[in-house]
Amino acid sequence: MRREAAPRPAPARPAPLRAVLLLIALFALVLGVVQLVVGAAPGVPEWVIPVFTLLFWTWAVAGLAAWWRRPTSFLGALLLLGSLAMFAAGVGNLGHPVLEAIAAMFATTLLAVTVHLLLAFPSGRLRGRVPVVTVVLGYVNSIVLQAPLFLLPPDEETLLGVVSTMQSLLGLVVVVAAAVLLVGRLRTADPRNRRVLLPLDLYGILAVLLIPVSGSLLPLLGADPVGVVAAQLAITGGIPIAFLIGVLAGGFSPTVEADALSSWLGVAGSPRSAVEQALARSLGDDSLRVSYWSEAQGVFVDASGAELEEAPGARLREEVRVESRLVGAIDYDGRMVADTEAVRRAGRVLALALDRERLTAELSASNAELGLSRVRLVEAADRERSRIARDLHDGLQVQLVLLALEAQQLAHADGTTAATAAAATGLRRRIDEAAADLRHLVHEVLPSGLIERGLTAAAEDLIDRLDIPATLDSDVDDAALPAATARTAYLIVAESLSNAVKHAGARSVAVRLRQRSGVLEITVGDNGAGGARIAEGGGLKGLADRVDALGGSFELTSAPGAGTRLRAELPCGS
Amino acid sequence: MRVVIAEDELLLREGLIHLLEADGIEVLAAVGTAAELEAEVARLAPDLVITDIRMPPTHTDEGLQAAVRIRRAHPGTAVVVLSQHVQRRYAGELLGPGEGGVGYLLKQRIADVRTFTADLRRVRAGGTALDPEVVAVLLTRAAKAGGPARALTPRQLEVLGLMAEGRSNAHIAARLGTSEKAVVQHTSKIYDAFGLPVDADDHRRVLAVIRFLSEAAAQ
Repeated sequence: MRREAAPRPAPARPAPLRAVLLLIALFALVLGVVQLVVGAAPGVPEWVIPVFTLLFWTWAVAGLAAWWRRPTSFLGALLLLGSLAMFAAGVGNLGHPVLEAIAAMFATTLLAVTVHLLLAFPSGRLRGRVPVVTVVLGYVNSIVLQAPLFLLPPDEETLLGVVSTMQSLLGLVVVVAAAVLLVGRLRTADPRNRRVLLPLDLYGILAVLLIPVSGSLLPLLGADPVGVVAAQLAITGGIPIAFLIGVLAGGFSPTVEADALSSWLGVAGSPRSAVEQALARSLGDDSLRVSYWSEAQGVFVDASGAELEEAPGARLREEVRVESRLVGAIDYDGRMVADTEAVRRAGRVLALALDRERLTAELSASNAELGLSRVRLVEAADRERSRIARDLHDGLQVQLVLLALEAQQLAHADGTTAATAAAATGLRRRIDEAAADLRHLVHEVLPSGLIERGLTAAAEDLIDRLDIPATLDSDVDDAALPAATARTAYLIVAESLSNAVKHAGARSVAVRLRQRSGVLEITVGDNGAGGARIAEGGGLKGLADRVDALGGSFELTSAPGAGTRLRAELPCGS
Repeated sequence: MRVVIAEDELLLREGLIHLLEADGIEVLAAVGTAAELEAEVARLAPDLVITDIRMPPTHTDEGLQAAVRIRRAHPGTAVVVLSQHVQRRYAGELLGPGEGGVGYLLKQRIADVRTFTADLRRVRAGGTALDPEVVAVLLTRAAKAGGPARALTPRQLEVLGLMAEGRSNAHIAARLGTSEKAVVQHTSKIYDAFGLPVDADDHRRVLAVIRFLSEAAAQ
């Protein structure tokens, strides 16, 4: 799909959303500043508070930016949720018992949010039961199973160990389930979308795996405790940045509300596929396709009128109607577009434009079908002529030779009276005359020259038998000329010559046959009375129709008193 | 006279065999394709070949092509081509090469048995038998092109047509109900008009006339 050609729609955000986002930004700023001012509790290193505040702000800014750039997605809201979890995990360092309890409770929530983000990217919505269950399990594991860890007294070591092990195992199950879901999504994703999804999914899964295990893994590799914490925090801070880049990159780039589309369509002048282009951009799914409902065939067709396959399983289809009449459908990737209501709204806005494109698609389909059926008619007529000519040649013409032969043999037979012999000879002559009539008829239906040698020989035979001087100039390669082309060209020459003699009273006529780059050009010019017209029901009209059916052109120049010139071009495939 | 026939229509082939044998002509072989015809000619070296034009497998002009090749390769074998339709171009191609007798007739001419067998014998003797319809095309063409043919009287044109068919002076005289001497006068007028040398050989002079007519229109 070419995008440069169409003007970009200005992203339109409703005023309330802007206000809400500004308010959230202000709130996050205040929270962070308060945290910085309160400062670290005794025993907590000085650098911890600024670092946690910075991470909190990173998540918050990423969330706000995603929401701002992509108002129809819930991803921004999820990132803001992540920023809250980040903040909650940090407040334990401020030295207040309640805050410490909150911090302990939400210490691992960020991991659950990250899994949620990964599975909901880029729409922000979870689709299907398995992803929902996986994400819910993630939250349960990080919040509910976290409770015993700070509610139970520290001396209940056995119980604490069991809960901790359960939490680790369940966490692993969640991460593995998420990984499987992501691999499945990558495999079925559109290549354009996969470019963005692959690095993001890899980073997300590694982050979720590394943050919990790095505490026990990195010291084994020789890292000091400060290094371990720094690594964990760096990975944590990278998550919102990665998702923000993902939202801004590839096919998920700026999106607009459906309301802005109608005006943009007007500006773009609605070229073909304008609807599809507009929808793909507005809904943020490059793989989006628009199909049109063909009432005649009872199927969905594409812009050229060709029938479309059923939408593959991973794709969703939103039907578009104009006053309850089905006009088309929007096929889209449910993982790219969160809001089915947004698709429906966009469909309503574009229904009329889509209906117009549908009519065009239907027209081009029926046009192509009509063209093919006309060619079939010409070919059927030709086949019928060939059959008649062959039947007469092999049947009746032979019979007349034999009948005449018998009549003549009767005349010569011993014992035949002179009167009978004369009668039999007379009969033979009349049969010969009938045969001559039949010969002319067969020649009109399908000339021998055309069958035996091709167009040039047949045209030459026509000219030989003409009563007025005529010339033939041909460079046609008769062997390579398709039968339908040769026959049509012959009929044009025959009709033109007949008109020149019978109607125009021409004194001479010139026929030219030229073959070049897949086109056979037939020109017949006479110096007769002119004034010929392509009249309904006339021979020229039939020829013009035939030429048109074969995809050629037909042009008659015949001013009164200035002779007649007929020029036709036929496709000849070589 | 020993003859080989090539005709794909079975009834017509049988009819031909019957009428030839009834006239004392020996039919050595009768086949249905041009390839078989050429094989039989090479094997049997007949005096005369009678062939159809349109035959299997392609049903186009294979009979004519075979006839032209036989004329070139077997000068001792005369050739008569039969067809449901005659055209000038084929006559030119047949008459072109070779010195032996040659004929090009509509199939319908078979029915006039005596004329037909007489034509075959004349061709066998090195003469020419050109169908009146082809001759008419040649004369029309020559007349359209202008030139010496237009200077001829109607009677001379009649004589010219019969000459082009390959008829002898005696035959022309009988056909026109005039004396052979009168015919000779007409023919010498025609030679004068065309600027052709008077040739004692009937067959050669006929070919000269036909070639003259063919070329007159081509110029």
